[in-house]
Amino acid sequence: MSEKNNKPEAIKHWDVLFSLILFISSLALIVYSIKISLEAMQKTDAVFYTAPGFSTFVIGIVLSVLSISQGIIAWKKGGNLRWLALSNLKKIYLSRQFLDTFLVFLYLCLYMWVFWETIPFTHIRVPFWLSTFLFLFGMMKTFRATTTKRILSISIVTTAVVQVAFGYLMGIPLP
Amino acid sequence: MEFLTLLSETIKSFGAFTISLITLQNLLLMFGSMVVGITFGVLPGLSATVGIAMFTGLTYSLQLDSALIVLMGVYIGAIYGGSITAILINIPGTGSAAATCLDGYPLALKGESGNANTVARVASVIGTFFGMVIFLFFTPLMTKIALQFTSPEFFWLAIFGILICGAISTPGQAIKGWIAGFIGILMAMVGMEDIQGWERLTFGIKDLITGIPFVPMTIAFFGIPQIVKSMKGNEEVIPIADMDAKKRLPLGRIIKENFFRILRWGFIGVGIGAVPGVGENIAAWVAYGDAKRTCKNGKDFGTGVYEGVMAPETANNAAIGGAIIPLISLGIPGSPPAAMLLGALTLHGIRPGPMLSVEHPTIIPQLGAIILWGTIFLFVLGILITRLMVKVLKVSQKILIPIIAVLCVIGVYSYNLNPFHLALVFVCGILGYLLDKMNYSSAPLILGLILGNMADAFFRRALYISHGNILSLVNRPLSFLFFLACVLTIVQKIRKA
Repeated sequence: MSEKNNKPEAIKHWDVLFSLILFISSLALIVYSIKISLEAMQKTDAVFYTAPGFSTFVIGIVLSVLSISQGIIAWKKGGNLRWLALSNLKKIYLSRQFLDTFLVFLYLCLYMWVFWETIPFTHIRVPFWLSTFLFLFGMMKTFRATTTKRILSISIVTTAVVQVAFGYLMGIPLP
Repeated sequence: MEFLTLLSETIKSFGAFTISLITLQNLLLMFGSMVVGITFGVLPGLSATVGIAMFTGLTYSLQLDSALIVLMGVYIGAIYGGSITAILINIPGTGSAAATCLDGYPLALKGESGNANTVARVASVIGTFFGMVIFLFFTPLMTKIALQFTSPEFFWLAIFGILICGAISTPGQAIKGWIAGFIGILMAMVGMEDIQGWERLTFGIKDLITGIPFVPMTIAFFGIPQIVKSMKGNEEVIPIADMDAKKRLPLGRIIKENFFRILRWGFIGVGIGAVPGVGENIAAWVAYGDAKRTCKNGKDFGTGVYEGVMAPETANNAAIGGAIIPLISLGIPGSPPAAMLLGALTLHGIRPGPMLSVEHPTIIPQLGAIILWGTIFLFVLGILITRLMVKVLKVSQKILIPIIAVLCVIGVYSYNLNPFHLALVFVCGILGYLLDKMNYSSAPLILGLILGNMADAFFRRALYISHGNILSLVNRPLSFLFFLACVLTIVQKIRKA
């Protein structure tokens, strides 16, 4: 069965899971809110309605109610956590769609963190133009945007334009 | 009388600013930003919101008027640009052009894509101009009214904005919209709060003390999911309709026959644009529905009727002026792109709200003049670059999207030159992608992020002043009205569900 056909079916199961996660997070938020409010009330002249945790407490209550409502709606549509069994999850993780999504996020992570200024946990500096070029080339090549020669020229030209336009003309201190 | 004096001052300043903007730098900036804006509008998945968010940080080094020219140019261009793809390939370049597809594409299939584009362009010009006029006339009045607002009014207005945005952005699943909205409010509470100076939800991370900035978050929740979807999607070869007009366009007759309807579509655009968080998309649909009901050829809508293009395009561009009215007068953006303008104004030390007309009395005529120039450029550029945009459409998404991703990253970094924001955008981008997969809209989340601090501060301030009396939130006529609006919105959506 194609992933497109599965999408409306799968969403209700994910809705149940998300509602559960949201509900637990709301409870944690409520506990946290009470904790910081009590701390503030002890240390300052705050009362409960001006305490820093009061608004987050209210948000916690609202989110817990909304998460329960959403969970019930999803459950009534047939959503359940059993669907999220290992066999179904394996189908998702081994699918082409998941791999492509993972690759895009990997490239973004490499560009926005690993190859940004210096490689983490090392002193190896990476010039911005190099990381930009590698990102562009890597993304286009991985997803087979066009021929390698065109990808190379597009990456070089774009990197040059970005460096000149933003780094020099607009004066942004790029890393 | 006082209002008339204020109005005449505004109009005089508007005239002066219109002339003072005629410098080579400003004209070039307007030209360039509108080309960029139209490009953003043309490319499906990108939007005025992402475009403005991307450029906000880049305008930091510019003077305020130049920054506003760039951002308004992108805004106006993008809203118009969506109609080009809607007509030529039946895919709206922006959400606000979705209604334009219904008659725009059938017109293109009949060989009248050139005429349809002309109608869209003229309607956009009329709509933008109309929105500008209403903005100039109504914003000073709205500001005066807003000065009467106190904490409870602002609190309920913020909540109402989030509720209505959540309900409309996820039709049939209002609860998902509200969940997104309140997650946004929660994100707004990260950092040092305004009243006690206490740190909330920072978990010891120093960079979170100043809070989560909403302009980079817009790129995280709007841009990153779109980048991922576009890269992993299968690229279909979409046929693009021929641009050559085969039939003479009776534009004068269409405008004459629909003159009062055009005014009404303009008012629809401005009115709906002014509702917090709703914006151009809904304005276009409501105007289309009105046109279908009231035009003589209403039963032919959907088969390729010029009024079916004119109505949504007039309304969605008029909504630009409408969306800026609450932004300037209340500090509450009327649409997601207007929300990005809020970020830009804040970046330049301008605090939108009732006091803006006191602190910066020329901002209203200044913005009006910029919108007027945007209207003029829209008319000219629409003629010049529509065919160029067709070439842009033929470029593979897998080439364009990595380039857009680079621009997004630069946009995030340039906002505050803080690499931590890149990490935050990456993490929130994953969250945004997952929420999008589960049909949660990002619009209420971003609106919640923008309005959350305001809602929190006014809520606790109201209780502080009244010594904890919860009824103080509803015991003024306006605050009770806004409270009622919130309740009615919730009840109506729950009953529908």
